[in-house]
Amino acid sequence: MSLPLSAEDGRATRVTRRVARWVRRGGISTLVFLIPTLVVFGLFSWWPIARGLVLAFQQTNLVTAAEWVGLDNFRKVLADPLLVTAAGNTAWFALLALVFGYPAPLALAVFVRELRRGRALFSVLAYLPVVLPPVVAILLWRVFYDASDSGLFNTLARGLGLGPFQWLQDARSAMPSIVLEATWANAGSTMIIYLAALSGVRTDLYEAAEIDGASIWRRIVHVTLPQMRTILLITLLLQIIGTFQVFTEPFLFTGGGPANATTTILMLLYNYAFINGDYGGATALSVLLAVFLGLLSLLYFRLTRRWSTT
Amino acid sequence: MLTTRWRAGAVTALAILAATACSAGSGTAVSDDGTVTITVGQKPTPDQAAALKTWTDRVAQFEKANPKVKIEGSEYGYDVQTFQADLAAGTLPTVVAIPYTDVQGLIERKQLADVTDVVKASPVGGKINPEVLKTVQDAGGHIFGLPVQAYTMSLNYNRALFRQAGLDPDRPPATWEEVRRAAKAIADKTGKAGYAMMTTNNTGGWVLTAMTYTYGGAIEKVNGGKASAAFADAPMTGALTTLQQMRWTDNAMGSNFLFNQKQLQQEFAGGKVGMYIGTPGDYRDAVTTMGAKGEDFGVAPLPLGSPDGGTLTGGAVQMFNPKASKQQIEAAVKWAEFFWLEKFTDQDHAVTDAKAANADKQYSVGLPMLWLFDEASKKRYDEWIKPYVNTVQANFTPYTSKAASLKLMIEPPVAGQKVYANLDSVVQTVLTQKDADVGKLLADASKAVDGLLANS
Repeated sequence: MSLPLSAEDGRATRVTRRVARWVRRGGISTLVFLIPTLVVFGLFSWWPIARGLVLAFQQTNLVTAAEWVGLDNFRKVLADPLLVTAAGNTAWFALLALVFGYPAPLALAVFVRELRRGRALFSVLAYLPVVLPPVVAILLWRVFYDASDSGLFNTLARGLGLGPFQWLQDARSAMPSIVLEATWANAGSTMIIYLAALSGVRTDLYEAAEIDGASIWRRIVHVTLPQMRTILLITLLLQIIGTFQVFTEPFLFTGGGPANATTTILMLLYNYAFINGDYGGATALSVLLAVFLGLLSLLYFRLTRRWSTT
Repeated sequence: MLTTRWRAGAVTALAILAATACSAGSGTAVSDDGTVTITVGQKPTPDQAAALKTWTDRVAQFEKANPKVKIEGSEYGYDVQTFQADLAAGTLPTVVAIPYTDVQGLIERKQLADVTDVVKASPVGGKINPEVLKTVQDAGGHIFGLPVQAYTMSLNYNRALFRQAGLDPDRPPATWEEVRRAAKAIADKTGKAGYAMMTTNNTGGWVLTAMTYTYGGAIEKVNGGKASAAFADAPMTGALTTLQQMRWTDNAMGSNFLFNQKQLQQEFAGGKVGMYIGTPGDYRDAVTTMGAKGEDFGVAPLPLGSPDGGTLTGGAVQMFNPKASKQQIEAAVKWAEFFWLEKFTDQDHAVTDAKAANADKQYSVGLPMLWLFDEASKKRYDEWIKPYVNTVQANFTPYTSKAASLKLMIEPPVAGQKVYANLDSVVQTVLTQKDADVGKLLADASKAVDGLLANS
């Protein structure tokens, strides 16, 4: 005569069976393979992020024990008059990059795709700037932007009866000048992604459109873009996140000048940490930026859910 | 433009975060037999063969004289961008040089070891010029480093461009009116920038401070322990008006107004700039690594805008790791005095050092400096190193003939770098906006600086 199992015993048996099934299905070997990744990510990615979060609520001179200061770092950063300027500049950069930088690689990709001959050559030419180290490219463009009459761009502009322009030396034109270089430097890598996506567009749709007498423009609008919708939405989001973290270009081109016209959030963060040695302020600002970008991404997904194919 | 290059930013953020993950100190390096190990920075690199040999010999001498101290060399040189991470990670040497301009900020953040007792008790450190020693002291007079080199800022000028512009290179401008006239002459006759100025990475504020001092002004005033802005008055207005006139009335400042220190040095070394405010030590980089000709590099004292004007000082300070133990600090101060200061007071040290510097051709021997000790020792030192001097001494005469009589001024004592950051923007606005209202700019900057000083 067997005794009826209690509810607790039944639960234990179910757990044991589940573990046994997990082991039988190769759970242990999966875990063994996963451990190195978990350790590397944990040590070099998640742990610093967690430490950064903690530091945002502390004041430290990196010598004595850190002191808890509650929300003081956030209050200080939010009260910094330069934060508004930096946020405005960053948004301005992101907007300019969106208007001029976002369509450029798409146009390039479509152009290359439509070529009958020399597709490889044009792809290489468009990708070439990506290969140049950013510092080298920026130093090169600094020379192009020489504001004297003999500067390269000013010489070209003179040929068109324009200029001379102050480029980086004027608060109004500094940011657009930086965006121009950034677009040139980065368009190639996005173009490669678009080219790959374009190869996945169903050719029968093009053929059908052609038979119906659609022009190239109509084929792009009604066939290409709808078919690339998902990839376009993702690259747009990544671009927005990337541009909100712009640092190298203003740092090397203008140092944030003239008169803070190109000081971005990340430059401000850099100054907090490395010029003023204020790690609490720097991490508080980075947490704020991360939260902002997280919210922006959520909002973006919510707004674009309807358009996405997935 | 998908992948905007934010990698540097990511690295920055990672460095901030990672820096906090480690906190190894260097405060336990005392062995069982009582031997103290210290790490000393600025060890010469293998390509500086003569200097490396001198360094190795000095280490042997020091260890022989101090058998309980072991020296470990590190090629580490101070870099403001990596200092914080090195401090956090415990990879800073026990002793290394930092520039004057960063000392007060590090003192405020308690990132320098207090060496008051050790320096005051030492036979060499105790003799340092008290005016120079102020640079490394806090408001309470505590000492946080050992000044080992000092200078007053200088007007560096291109003697070749002076000649081309019909100016006498042996009589550089002594007032700001003369600077303006010379800058215009250079710009008109040669097409080069007559006068240029650093403006980014806080250097604009630094140089504007130096200019304001020459007009008899101040940057901060401290009352009852509270600091406030003191620059929204005639001296800084005078300095900015001079810049405005050279830039917009005379068109004598070229076309680039966004220079950091290194970029301006390169422009000057390339013969594109007639005059700029820098340091006498700029000669070394310009001549040994940037291709300038020594005979074209002129050094003059800062021009004065007022008879009450003073001159900003600068230099190098040996700092001591705040994580080091008391024994390590004592050993490190002893080493710093032995290696960095005895060469000014000991003939053997002076001669060997100058000889090695001359042989490596990477150092300039005989650069003008603000002497740290008494005048008699300066004359002796000059005689000792004379055979090894590799700089054009005549070009320094305008500077050396006046340096001793200048009124010395130190950097703004509270939150100096943050104040400089605010003033960068003021200088940049004056140089890039034609009708910039100097009065309004200074009123706004003064308000912003008051705000940050109130929170310091």
